[in-house]
Amino acid sequence: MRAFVRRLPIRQKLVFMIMSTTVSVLVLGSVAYISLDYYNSRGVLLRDLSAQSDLILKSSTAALQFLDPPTAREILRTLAPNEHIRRACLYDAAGRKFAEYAAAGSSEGCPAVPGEDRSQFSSDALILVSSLLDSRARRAGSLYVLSDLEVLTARLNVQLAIVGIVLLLTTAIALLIASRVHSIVSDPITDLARTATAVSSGGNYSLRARRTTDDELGVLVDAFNRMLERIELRERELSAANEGLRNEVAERRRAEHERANLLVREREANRLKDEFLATLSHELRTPLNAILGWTKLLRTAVIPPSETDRALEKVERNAQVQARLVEDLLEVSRITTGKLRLDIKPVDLAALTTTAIESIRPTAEARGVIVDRRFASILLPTAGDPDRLQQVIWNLVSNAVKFTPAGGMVVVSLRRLDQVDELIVSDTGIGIDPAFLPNVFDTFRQADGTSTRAHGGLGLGLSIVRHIVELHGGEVRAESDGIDKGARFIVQLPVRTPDRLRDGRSMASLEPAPPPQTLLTGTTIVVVDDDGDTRELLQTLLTTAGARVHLATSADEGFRLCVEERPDALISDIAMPGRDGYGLLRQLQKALGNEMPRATIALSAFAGARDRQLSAEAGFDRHVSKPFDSHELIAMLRSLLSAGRESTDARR
Amino acid sequence: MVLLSAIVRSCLLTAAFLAAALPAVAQSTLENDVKATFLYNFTKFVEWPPSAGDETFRVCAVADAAFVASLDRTLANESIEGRRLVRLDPRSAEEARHCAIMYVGSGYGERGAPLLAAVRDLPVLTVGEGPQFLKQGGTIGFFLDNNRVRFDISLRAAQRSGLKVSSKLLRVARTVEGETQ
Repeated sequence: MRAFVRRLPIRQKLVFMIMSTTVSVLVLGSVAYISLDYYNSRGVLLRDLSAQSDLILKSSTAALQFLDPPTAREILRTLAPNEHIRRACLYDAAGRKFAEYAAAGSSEGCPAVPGEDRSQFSSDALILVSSLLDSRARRAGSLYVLSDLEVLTARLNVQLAIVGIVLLLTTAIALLIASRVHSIVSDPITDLARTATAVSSGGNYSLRARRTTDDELGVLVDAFNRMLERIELRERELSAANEGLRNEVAERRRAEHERANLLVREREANRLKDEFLATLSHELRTPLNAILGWTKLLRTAVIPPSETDRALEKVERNAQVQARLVEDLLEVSRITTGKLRLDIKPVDLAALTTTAIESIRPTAEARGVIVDRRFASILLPTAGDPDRLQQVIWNLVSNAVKFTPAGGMVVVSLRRLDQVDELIVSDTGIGIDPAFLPNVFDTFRQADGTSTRAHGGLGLGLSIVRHIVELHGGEVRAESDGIDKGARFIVQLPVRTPDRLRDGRSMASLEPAPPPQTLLTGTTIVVVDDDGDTRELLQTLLTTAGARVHLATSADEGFRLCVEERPDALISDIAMPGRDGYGLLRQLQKALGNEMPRATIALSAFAGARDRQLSAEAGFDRHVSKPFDSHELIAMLRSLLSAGRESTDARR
Repeated sequence: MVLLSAIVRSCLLTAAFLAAALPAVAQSTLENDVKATFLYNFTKFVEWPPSAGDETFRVCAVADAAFVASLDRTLANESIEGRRLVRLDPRSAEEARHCAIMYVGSGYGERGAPLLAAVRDLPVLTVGEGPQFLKQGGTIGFFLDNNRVRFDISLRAAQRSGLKVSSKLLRVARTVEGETQ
């Protein structure tokens, strides 16, 4: 039963509850009422019958006393309107039947004697025996009456029918009320259930259940809504965290990507450097072969004297080629270390260009390439570093000649636009792959990086060109219509009048340099280097500047010389067999203390920041990397010595 | 005593009833007993005017000895509302005036006539034999119907005498004279 009720939907539960309550109340009430009413009615029936019997008896006294059964019968017949009295008998004082009455169709009989006065209900009849008493309380006569219970059963039936109808009506009303109450009770629940379903299936936590009541359901709805709020909040936090994570992942991926790109670029740079080194060794070795070969031939005197000039000429030309290569390398080194300085002077671009062309023309003609000059030999006065500018023009023209096959042509034109001098070198050569055009001016970059390439060179020329042009405030670009369609190099230099050279750092360059001979006069300098050429170069340089020079080939020898000679300055190589330059300096500091040379300069092929730091830590005043600029070295020595003298003067 | 009396009375009634039910040629003892009982029973259905200080209820009978004997038996030890029942044989009109009931038997008309005339306007219930008794001014007249004792009542005579007759009595009477509708 309980399980059955539990399975019912709320609506039917309510109906069930209301119905069960109503019906049980109604049935119990009805049973109670009907029972009560039945017994009441029995009492009423008995009372009525008693009254009627009394009346009959009293009416019959005369008939009884005057022995008149017909009148008695007549009196008994007055019972006829009461159809429920089936039988009535009057007995005289002796208990003999005096008169009797039977309703139509009555089959019941009267007893022979009346018996005691009594009222007695059987299942379908009421029997009443009552007596008439005289003045001495003697029985003057008795009446026996038998009544059916039709009245009671009819009443009972009517009541049952009414109860049935009321039950039906009540059921209908209960159903009606249940449906109303159902909506009151279950609508909020249904609403809540619908919201919950929508939330769980759609994941939309911004939905809210509607609160329509102030009872426990209202509290439930509120609690549910609060729960939803918290879930929504959490979800929002979660998605925010997710978003953060996503961003972080994206950021990391991007960083990863960048690192990968960097790695690719680094690998590319390494590859370029490797290629460059291969090219460099090849390019350096090629003229060396010629020089060594011809020199050997000359020394073994295999070559007849008539051929000596030609051989020497070849040696010289190859030496020049090599010198140019080395020059280019140094140039690039200066550019990359930012040491390239321009010596700005008034120049005539036209004259410079003509000179450059003329210097290349023999080589070009030897290769069958015509170099044509398309400008008037007029003055184009401007300002710039003449040597560098000539180098630019020379590089461009020789490059054009190099990449132009025999029978081709190189045209050099020069013109002055508004504030710009424009130099165009065009050729009918092999042209440039459009894909390579943007990289033409990059250092170490060549269109053909393979070792089997047809064209020599280090690929530094154009890089140098770009740097020099840019240092002059101009720009250079390359154009080509494609492979085998020739190329065009266009240089644009801003026109600078000599007047505008008054200001800026170039002023110093224009001052006449003091004669180097007098710079280091009276100073003693010890030079320590295991490389003889460097020793020799420094000896020549320093001696020329007026200094007294002692040479040492090792750190030990340098130490001995310093202790003996107490020089003003020490110039020492770092990397040497045995003890290195750092060791030498530390040993000297221990041995000499205050008597240390006033200027100490480390001279090293290592030019990194780390090397400079190491030198400074060891106690060197300066770190100069090879190759060094002789002027700078002397200027450095001079400034160190003069400062040192002041400080030593102060000490004295 | 009461029980014994009831049994005797019951036997009497039974005898009277049987007598009334059975055919009879002459006025038998049973008939006398029935009529005596009826006389007594009339006292229950007739209302006399109040008579202060009278301790006896006199039933006068002008009849033969047999009837008088029956009446004496019937009235023995009976009383009405505390008044003792006494049988009287009135010899004069003066005596007759003190009667409550005056019975005149058949064959005693001449002797009874002056007595009846004397109590004509007095509260005396006059009972006689036959229908002609009422014509002579009597109130109740016995007669035999199928050997059963029955009676007629003159309501006019009863009213003249100042007696109230119960409707129950009227109901068992055969005919009622002077009944006002």
